[in-house]
Amino acid sequence: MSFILAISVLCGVFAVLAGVLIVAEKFLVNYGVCKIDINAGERELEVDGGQTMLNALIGEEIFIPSACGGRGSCGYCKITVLSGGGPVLPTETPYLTRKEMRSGVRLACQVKIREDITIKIPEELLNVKLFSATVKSTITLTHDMKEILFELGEPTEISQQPGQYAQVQAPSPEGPVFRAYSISSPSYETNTVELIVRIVPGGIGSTYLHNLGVGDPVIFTGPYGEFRLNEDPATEIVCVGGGSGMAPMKNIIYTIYDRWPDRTCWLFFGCRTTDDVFYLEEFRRLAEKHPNFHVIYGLSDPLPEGNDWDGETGFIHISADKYLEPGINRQAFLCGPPPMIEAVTRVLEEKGIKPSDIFYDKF
Amino acid sequence: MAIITIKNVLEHAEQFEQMLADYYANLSEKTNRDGVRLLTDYMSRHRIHIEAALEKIPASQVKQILSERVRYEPQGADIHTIEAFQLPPNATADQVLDAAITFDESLITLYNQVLQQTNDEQIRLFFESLLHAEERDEIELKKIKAMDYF
Repeated sequence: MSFILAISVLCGVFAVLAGVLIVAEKFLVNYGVCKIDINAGERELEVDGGQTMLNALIGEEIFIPSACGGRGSCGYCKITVLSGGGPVLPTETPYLTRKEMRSGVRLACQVKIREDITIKIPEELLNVKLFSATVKSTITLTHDMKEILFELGEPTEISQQPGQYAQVQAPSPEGPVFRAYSISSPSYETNTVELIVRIVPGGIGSTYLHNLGVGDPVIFTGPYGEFRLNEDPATEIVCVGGGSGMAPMKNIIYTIYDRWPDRTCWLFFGCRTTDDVFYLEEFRRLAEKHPNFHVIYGLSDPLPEGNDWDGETGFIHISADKYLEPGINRQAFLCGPPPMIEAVTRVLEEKGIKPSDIFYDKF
Repeated sequence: MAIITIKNVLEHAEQFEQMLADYYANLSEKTNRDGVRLLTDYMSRHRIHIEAALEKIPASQVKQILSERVRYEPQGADIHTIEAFQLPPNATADQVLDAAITFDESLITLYNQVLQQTNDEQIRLFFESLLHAEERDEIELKKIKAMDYF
């Protein structure tokens, strides 16, 4: 009995000491003002030491993608640390390859600023902005999908490219978190941003967005993403989406037909049942105006008897295999779960599309 | 409770990962659902966490880590965990994903148990890395489920 009591007391003492150390570091340790040099002097910041790199950059309105609110569980906030920043932490290694670790890639949320640091970040991140907006409309697309349109407040305009995404701030019990959503409105719509969101039971971001009503305020950052649409109109565009992966496709398709009315574009969209189908009639109307736009929807669940479905059946990579002729110059954009991406990529490569011309949403 | 080496723990986990890969490959062969086949094909090829975690550690430290001893007896994350999910050939993708999430959780439990048994910094770093890889896997499986494609 006394042995157990002694261990309990010892554990208690250690717990108290650990707590004291954490509090002491927070309030007593002063790292002073530290300098952050970004992209070889392109930006130089002076920030309070002791905070994480991610928070320091956000404080200076430099928005690095992060979906988990800085808890080290999404792996999105990669930056390159050229000097300072300490060693790579075990919380980072699952998200980094050996090559990345050798070249100084770190997760910004895990780098604590205790000294002057030199970092390198992708140029386009310096153009990411924080937007305040209000909900202009919400449309129910299916039993679990909604289209939500934001009207921008401050700044009033956004310059985004097809395939880019925004990070919407959503409230959570542990404070605000950001969740990434592809922008579905075309790039020529500069005063609004449209998202297509599937409700995920228990999902923080999707629950928040699905509960928004017209006039509600929202905050988001963006645009993010590296996809660049091939500007050569002779290059065919192939969009393949699955499940809820429609948003970037809609942006790409409308942007293309605004700029190149005769350009060839294929849309393959796979879902399970007719209850999951949305935008089909809208895209068919667009295809009537632009004969080089090909719309193929596929259902993977067996069709119930008497169903009048006139589209494809089976998984969407099978449809892509059926319709795409090999040997044509194409660029492809995919959005869906990793096993779908893998299956579609295999088909597209067999058709002669180079891996460097196949892009997909980070999952 | 026995005193065993880290190498023994990893052999146990590796054996479990191999059983999982075989489980998915077997299900892929037997299933009459294309979606389950796609899913299990994918999962059977993505169970390489221990190998990947070891690769990130300098070769000079690997030997030392493997020979360290912990007071611990691996339980769970074994054949019994898998046997609890003997899915029929017509199992749905959701059932497969639920099983896969449970398997990941059993590895998370295993790695957490080791972490509670050691104060060695190198071993902690290594197992925390494995733990995060499994947690990330679990999140990916939940996202695949949420996309409702299969």
